[in-house]
Amino acid sequence: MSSEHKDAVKRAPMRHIRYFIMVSLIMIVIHYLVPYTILLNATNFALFAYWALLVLFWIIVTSIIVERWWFK
Amino acid sequence: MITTFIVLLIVYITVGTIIAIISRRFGVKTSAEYFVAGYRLGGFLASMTYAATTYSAFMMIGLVGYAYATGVGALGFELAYLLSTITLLAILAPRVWLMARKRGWVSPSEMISDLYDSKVLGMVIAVLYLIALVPYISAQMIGIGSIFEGIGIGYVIGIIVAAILTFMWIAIAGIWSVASTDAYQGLWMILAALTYITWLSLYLLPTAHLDLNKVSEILGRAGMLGITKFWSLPTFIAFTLPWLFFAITNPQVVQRLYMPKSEKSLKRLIQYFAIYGFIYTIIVVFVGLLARALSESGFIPMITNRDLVTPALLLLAHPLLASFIYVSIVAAAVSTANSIILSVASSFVRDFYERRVRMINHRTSLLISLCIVTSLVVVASLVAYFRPGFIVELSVLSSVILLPLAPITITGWVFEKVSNVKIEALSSLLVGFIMALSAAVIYGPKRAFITTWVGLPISAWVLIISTVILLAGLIRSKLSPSK
Repeated sequence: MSSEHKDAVKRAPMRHIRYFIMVSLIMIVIHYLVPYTILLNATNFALFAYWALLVLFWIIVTSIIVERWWFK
Repeated sequence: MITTFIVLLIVYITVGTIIAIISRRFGVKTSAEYFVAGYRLGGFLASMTYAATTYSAFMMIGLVGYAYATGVGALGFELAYLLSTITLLAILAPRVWLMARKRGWVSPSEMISDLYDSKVLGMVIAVLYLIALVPYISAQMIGIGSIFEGIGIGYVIGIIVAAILTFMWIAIAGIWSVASTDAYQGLWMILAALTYITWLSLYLLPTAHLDLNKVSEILGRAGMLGITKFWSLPTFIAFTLPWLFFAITNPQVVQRLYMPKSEKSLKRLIQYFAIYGFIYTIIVVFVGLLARALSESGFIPMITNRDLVTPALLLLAHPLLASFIYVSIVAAAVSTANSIILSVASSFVRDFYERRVRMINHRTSLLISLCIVTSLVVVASLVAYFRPGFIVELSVLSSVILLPLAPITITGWVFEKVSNVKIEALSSLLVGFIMALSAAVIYGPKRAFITTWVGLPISAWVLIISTVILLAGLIRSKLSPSK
């Protein structure tokens, strides 16, 4: 077992995990909800942009969280 | 075209084989080294093998076709997978990574077996993987065979090339050769996708006198930019639900969480994979939509078989470009197929041999691994060769068949000590599996995928019933604590 791994075992896998789960659920819900309510009949690239930006935003947020909250 | 494709294919195979042979220097002596790289994969390799394993030939053929035929909903479907996967990985990957080291997990079925302290559960899961994933491996080989057939080289030659490549890049150094060739193939896939969209946007659209505004206008008029009839809410849920849990139900991706060598490598796995997945998905869906705009504008005829959208577009491309993209589809299929085969083989080696003997002989383990890999490649190739309707169609349903693994896997990862609900875990798994397979027999696999019961797709019922059975077990174990 490497020393880095030994250190990791002593720490929590993720900080603030409850908040992250709550926000994640909201993200998944709005991934379904907005297209089927507001953007149902989009006639331009609004729905394409919505899905793309939502996921891009979540990738950025998750990348930062993984960097800062994991193994702390 | 044939000559260009063959030359490029030879380049692809030669470079891949050299990379695989170089990867032998990492050394493989035990099954842990053969299947999970001795838990010492770097961040780049870990992320690229995760991406190349996940994204199969379906992307360039199936998803392009879905975007063409059903509009922007195809993007929502594929991005739902990515959104859910990065979320699940962010929450659960560090736990799994730590536990895998602490408990010495090699195969995903062994992981469940260990968490629930049930050898039977591990063996049942190994068999389940076989039933669910052999059709999926065959579907990848059929994809390669179809490309060879379309180009004029012949379907059977395609199957033979697929089988040899899949086997060779596993046999050379196990996961080391698979992961390193996955990284190479992943780069080929993303480069081909970028070239594809660049050619479409900068060459084909101007030739058809179209720009982005006109494309938007044409697609908007055709109703392809909103939610089309195809993507009714139950259908969207039916398509997305099994994929939301793909990261925890499919052994080839679960196993990749054990492999990173450090915290940093694990972080890079998620970050690089997310970026890769996002770019690849956006490009693939955009290609499908642009192709539709070209059809709507009359530049190319309407394509009724959605799987032929990419081949139809590539007829207009320079043979070198078309061959580059076709080889990227071969790469996507091979990287998915060999990762699944290696993962399924690891389940059999661990659950049927290593965990049942007192002293492990590593040479015997590696020999058994090779035998299982060979058998799986042969069986998948034969299925691909004969293309028996039901088995091939079953590949569509593989993610639904594996769905009952979601509740027991999450429960095991979260609570860790769950040996007191092993009976319910086994029941939950078997009931969900029987439900999915019965639906496939009754409706046919393709219809079963989108059939609804009381407004909910069958996949939702599989998940609900499996979860309820496991939940009942958890409640029972709380009410009657162990002595």
